[in-house]
Formats: sequence, structure tokens, C-alpha cells
Amino acid sequence: MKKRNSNYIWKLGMFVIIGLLVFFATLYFIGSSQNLFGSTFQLKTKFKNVSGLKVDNNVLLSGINIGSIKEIEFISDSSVVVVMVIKNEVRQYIKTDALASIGSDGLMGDKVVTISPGNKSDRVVEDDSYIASIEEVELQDLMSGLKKSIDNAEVITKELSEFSYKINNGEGMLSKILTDPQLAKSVQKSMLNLEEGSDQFVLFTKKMNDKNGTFSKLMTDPYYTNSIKKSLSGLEKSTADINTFTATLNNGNGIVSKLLTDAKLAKSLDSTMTNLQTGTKKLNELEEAAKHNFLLRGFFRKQEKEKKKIEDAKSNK
Amino acid sequence: MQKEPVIVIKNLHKSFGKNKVLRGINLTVNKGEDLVILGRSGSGKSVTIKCLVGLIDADEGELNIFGNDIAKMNYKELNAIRLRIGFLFQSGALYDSMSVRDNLAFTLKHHTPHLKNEEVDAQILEVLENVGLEEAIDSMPSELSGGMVKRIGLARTLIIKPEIILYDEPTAGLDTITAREIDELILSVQKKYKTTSIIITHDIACAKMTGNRIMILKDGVIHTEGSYEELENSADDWVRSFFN
Amino acid sequence: MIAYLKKNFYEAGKLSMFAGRFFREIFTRPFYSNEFIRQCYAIGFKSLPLVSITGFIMGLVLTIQSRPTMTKFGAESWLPSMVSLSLIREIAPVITALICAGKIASGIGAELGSMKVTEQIDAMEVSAINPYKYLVNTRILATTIMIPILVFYADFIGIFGGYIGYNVHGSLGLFRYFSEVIEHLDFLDLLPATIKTFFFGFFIGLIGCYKGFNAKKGTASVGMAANSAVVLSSLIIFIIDMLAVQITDLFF
Repeated sequence: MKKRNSNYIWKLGMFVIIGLLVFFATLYFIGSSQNLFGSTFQLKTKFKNVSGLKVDNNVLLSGINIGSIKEIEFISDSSVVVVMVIKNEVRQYIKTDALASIGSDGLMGDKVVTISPGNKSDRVVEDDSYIASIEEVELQDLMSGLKKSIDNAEVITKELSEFSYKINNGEGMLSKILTDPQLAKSVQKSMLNLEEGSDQFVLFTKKMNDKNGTFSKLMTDPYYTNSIKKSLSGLEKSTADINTFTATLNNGNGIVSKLLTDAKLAKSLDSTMTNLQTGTKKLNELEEAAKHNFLLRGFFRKQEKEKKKIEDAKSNK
Repeated sequence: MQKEPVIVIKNLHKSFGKNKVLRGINLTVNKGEDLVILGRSGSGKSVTIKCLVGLIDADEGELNIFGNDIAKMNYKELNAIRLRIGFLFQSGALYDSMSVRDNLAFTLKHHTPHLKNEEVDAQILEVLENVGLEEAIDSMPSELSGGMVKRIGLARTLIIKPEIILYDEPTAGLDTITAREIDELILSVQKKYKTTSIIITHDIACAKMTGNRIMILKDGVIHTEGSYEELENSADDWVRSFFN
Repeated sequence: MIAYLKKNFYEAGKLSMFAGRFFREIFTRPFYSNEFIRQCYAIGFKSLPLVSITGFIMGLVLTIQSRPTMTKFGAESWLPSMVSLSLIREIAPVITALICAGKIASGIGAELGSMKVTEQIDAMEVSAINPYKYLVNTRILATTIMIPILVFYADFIGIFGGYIGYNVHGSLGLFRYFSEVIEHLDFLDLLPATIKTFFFGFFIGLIGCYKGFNAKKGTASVGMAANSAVVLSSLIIFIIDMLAVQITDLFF
């Protein structure tokens, strides 16, 4: 029995071991393509919207598959934490300011997380740390923006069409301009007048240039020049006087100046004004009271009558 | 020789479907006795001894071996009884996939696992010597002739040193000369191992040589019982027809 | 009709009891490790050439046959992963199991059937050796363990066949090919397929043993035992496969 045993046992052992090796090698390779075995580290990032990203989707760095999504979970109503498992050997290429974004991969539209390297930081990311993320432009946002501009375009085209309709159907100014023959005639007339006016203007300038004309004389005669000079110096003097006046005003000795600058005076003036105001008010009240008093009613009536008489007389005149 | 019954069968019934094979067998075998059961094919001889070792469950009746009822035993107790009984099958029933050595070693190693390989080999050689086939130790059963298969089969039953040996048609399918050799072998085994035997056969020469008591089975019951001489001179024609 | 159904139910019940006996007896001593190893050798190692050839041809043919369709869709680069996926998930396990049903179940059925007919099983029984433990447990256990290993070989060789098939028309490096294959594989492709091969192996062994163990007398019944073992185990392989796919579909 022993003799026959040794004949086949090694073959059986070989068979079993190679078979199991194939199996475990396959397991290992599948595992390593999913990062379940081998040395890895974790990175986290937050997204508002993961747009259908799933656990086990790939993580790319510069287009190279470096890991996979391990976990996706809510942390609040508007943000989701994505945990990525990444091969340790690429850790040195991911700096703390790296950015994660979600994109699509290939024909079948699998979602992937793409890590774009930052450029400022020199520090390599820590295990289990967070990196920033860029939100993908949402298709929905894009669509709503697009819709707004489409709505605007609709309004514009509508108005444009209305406008061109009006033009074609001869209402309004522009249409008249473009289509009324009478208007064209009057425009032509005014153009003609304008032409005439400009012609006369030419004539006038010609006369002005003539040496015997008043204007020319004014410009060229030395007498006139002198008188103009004189009047100009007079004007100069009067402005100087005005200057001195304002200076004295500003200096504050005069009444006017005092009026403008002295606070005390201003105050007393103010109170006088108020007294005056109350005085007139009271007078008004008194007068009103008098009007209603039966003793004085007669007097007021008379006064009124007289006033009427004067007015009547006036009108008769 | 004092009468000490080792096998007692009372009122054994067994049927396969509608075919009632055994209809109340009663027999007693005493220690050291060699009982031959004669009968025509299909008379239920084999079924009787197969019931005895629990290969076939009896429908009714009592099977007593060494004072224990087979039907009431659990599997473990039954196996303990089986180890005291040798059973030589009609075809020899050697395990095809094993060499003669492994065939013999199989049972021995199974029941005495502590035995060293040299001891196992020594016992194998001893029983092979007893059946006169030491040279066949490393052959496969397919290389052996019919008579050799029977002898190795006997050797295999002998290796566990049984107290009872049941022979199922030991000479069937053999030529007369080989059959006589087997008969002699059975006799020598009976002497050497001091066994109690039940020999089932339809070979009258075998019955004459090996048995000291003969039973004839007919229609599922024991028809006649007696010594060879008694039966040879029986008044019953049917019984006498066996001896012609 | 009723008699036919009753007969089938009776068979199913007997088979279930036979399987139940396996589980009852597998945990009790003694365990025949020598016989187990011998059966592993006979079932595993000796079936390897057959399984390798069929696996190789399946991979090769599948690649060549799928190429025109894949090219039509412009997905030729998907060919390695598609072929390996279908091999690992379905084709290698089922083809290997069917080959083994033909080779092993019939072998066991014939072997045990002839042992039954020549009273060897009875001989074992009367030698106070539990023939069920010695013959059936070792064989069922050996098929249950060896069939999955044969399937691993068939997977691997089939995928290699796919590589050869791919390079009939295209050209792709061996390393690229295998990395392409591995990249699209998932544990979910491998594990359910592996688990179901254990069931395939178990039923191949069980049915082979059952049919052999219950052979009637006479040499004709040996042939019948072998034949019905192949038929029944092939049928059961397909039924298990269907169940396995549905269960996998349900959970994953």
C-alpha cells in the first residue's frame, strides 16, 4: 500500500496546490485591482452632489487608476462624504491642496473621481484626511440658465416680429418716414431751405471779410481797440472793488458780516423771529375772536361792506 | 462433545415483495458442529445465512447468535457479533481495487489499528499459508482463478479468527477437482480453527465431505434433517433425488 | 401516471435519505483518509486532462464566435473580459461539471454497482466495516472538493484559450490580456460560481454513489446504474445552476 501511495500522492498534492494557487492568485489580483489587499491609504472629500457615483468606482490621478471609492455617506442634508482608498505608492504625488472632482469615464458612463494635483502646497496628504472638491457644473443648473436665455430670446423675437409687422403695415413714425410721400416732400423742402440758408451764410461771411464792413472795422480799427481796452480796465477796477467789499464782509466788522457770522446775534434774531411769529399768530386768533363777538360783529360787517363798495367802484371804473 | 447452541433460529420468515422465500425456519447449531444446508436454487438458503449476519432484515422470527438476538441489537453491537463470524461469499467478493495483501489487511487494520505493519504482514502470511496461496500475495483479484479467489476469500474470513464461518456455495462454479480441494480446505480450517460452520451448497459431494449434519430446505421450510447416510437412504423420493 | 409519480417520489425520498446518511456519518469516526486521498487522485488528477482540453476549447471557441458580434458593436476590446466573465460565471463550472458527471458519476456508479453485484459491499458489511463510510463518504467528499479545483483549472485554461482565440485575428500581449481580464473581474463573479461548484461536486458524487449502491443483482444493473447516474447528475447540475443564478441574482 505504501508503495502505491507514494506514486500518486505527490501528483494529487501538485494538482491540489496548483489549483488552489490559481484560485488564490485570481482572488489576489481581483483584490489588488480593487485595493482590498496591498498597502493603501484613505482620502476623504465632500461633495454637494455625487451625481450617481457608486462604491467601487475608480479614482483617477492624471488619468491613471490609483484607487477606488470605498464609502459614500451623508453627513448633512446637502453634503456627502466620499471615502476613497488609494494605493500608497501614489501618495507622494497628492499634495494637501489637491482637488477632487467627479467626472465620467468611458463609453458606459461610469462615474469616476478625478484628483487634480494642486500646485502651491509641498505637503503630502495625510492618511484619512480631507481634500477639497470642485463641484461639477450641474446639468440641471445649466439647463435652467439655458431656459432663461431661451425665454429672453423668445420675447425678443416676438417684439421684433411685432415691430416689423408695424413697419410693414404703415403705422407710427418710422413707417411714415419710410413710406409717406408728403413727408418726403416737406423734408425735401426743408432741405432746400437749409441749402438757401447756408448760401446766405456764405454771403454773410464774405461781407464780414470785406474790409469796409462794421465787423471788420471793429476788428481792425485802433480807435475801437482803445475804447475796448478802457472799458475792460474799468471792469477790472470794479471787480477789484467787489473783492475788497467781500474781504471786509469776511473780516467780520460790518453788520452784514455780523449777521452772517455772529452766533449770538443769530440766536437773538432767531428768537425775535419766533416772537414775531407767535405775535402774528395771536393777532390772527384775536381777529378771529373779534369776528365772532356780537358786539364787534357790526363793525366787521361795515368794514366788509365798505370793502365791497370800494371794489364795486373799482370795477365800475 | 457437549451440546452448546451458538446459533438458534426460530420461526424465520422473509419475503421479497409477494415472493415468500422463508416460511418459518427453525434450526439450532451447536458449538463445533458443521451443518450443511442443502436445497435447490432459490429455496432461500442464502437468505437464511444473510439474515443471520444482518445483511437482510428478517420479517419475523428470532435469530440468536451467542445468546444475543440480532434483531434487537444496534449497529455497533451487531458489528461486534459480525467480527466473530466469518462469511465466505459465493463469488469470493474480493475487493477488486485492492491487491490480495490489501484485501486481507483491510479488515485487520480496520479493527486493530494499533497493529504494526510487520505484525499485519505476519498474520497475512499465516492465513495465506493455511489456504496454500502464499505466492499470490501481491496479485490483484482479477489475475486470480475462481478457485484461488475462493481460497483468498476464505483466508480473508480467517484473518479475523472467527468462531463461526458461514460458507455460501463454496464450490459453486468450480470444476470437480478444485471443488474437492476447497472441501479439503474447509475441513482443515474446521480442524485448525475449531470453528462452527454452516455450509450452504447444492453440491452433494461437498455436503458429504464437510458436513456432519445435513438439512434440506424446501419451499421456505426445513424439509428433512439428518446425517448424510440417513438422508441417502430416506424414504422420501424427493430427498433421495439429491443424491443421484 | 400516479404509479409513475409515486415511483419518482420514492426515488427522491430514498436519495434524500442517502444524502442525509452522508451528513450523519461524515462527522463520526473512523475516517478513511487513505481511501479519500485515493479517490481525490482518481477524481481530480485523472480528470484534469479532459477538463483542460474542454476548458481550452470552450475559451477558444467562445472568443472566436463572439468576435464578429463584438466587432459589429465596436467593442472588440471588451472581448477578453466578456469571454472570461462568461467562462468564470457559467461556462467553466457547468461544462466541467457535465464532463465530470460523464466521467466520475458514471465511474462511481459502475464501480459501486459492480461491487454491490459481486457482494463486495456485503463482504465489507459482514467484516464489520461500514461500507457507506468507506465507499460513499470518501467519494462524495472527494468530488465535493475536487470539482471546484477542476473548475479553477478550467477557468484558467479556458481564459488562456480565449487568449489564443483572440490572437487568431487580433494581437494582444499575454500580460495585457490577463490584466484586461482581471480588471473587469469582481469577487461577485468568482464567489457564487465557486460556491455552486461545490454543490455540483456534491451531487455528482452523491448520485453516482446512490445509483451504484442501489444497483440490483446482475451485470445489466451495473450498466443501468452508470447510465442513470450520468443522466440524473447532469439534470441536477442544470437545476442547481438555475437555482444558483436565481439566488445570486436575488442577493446581489
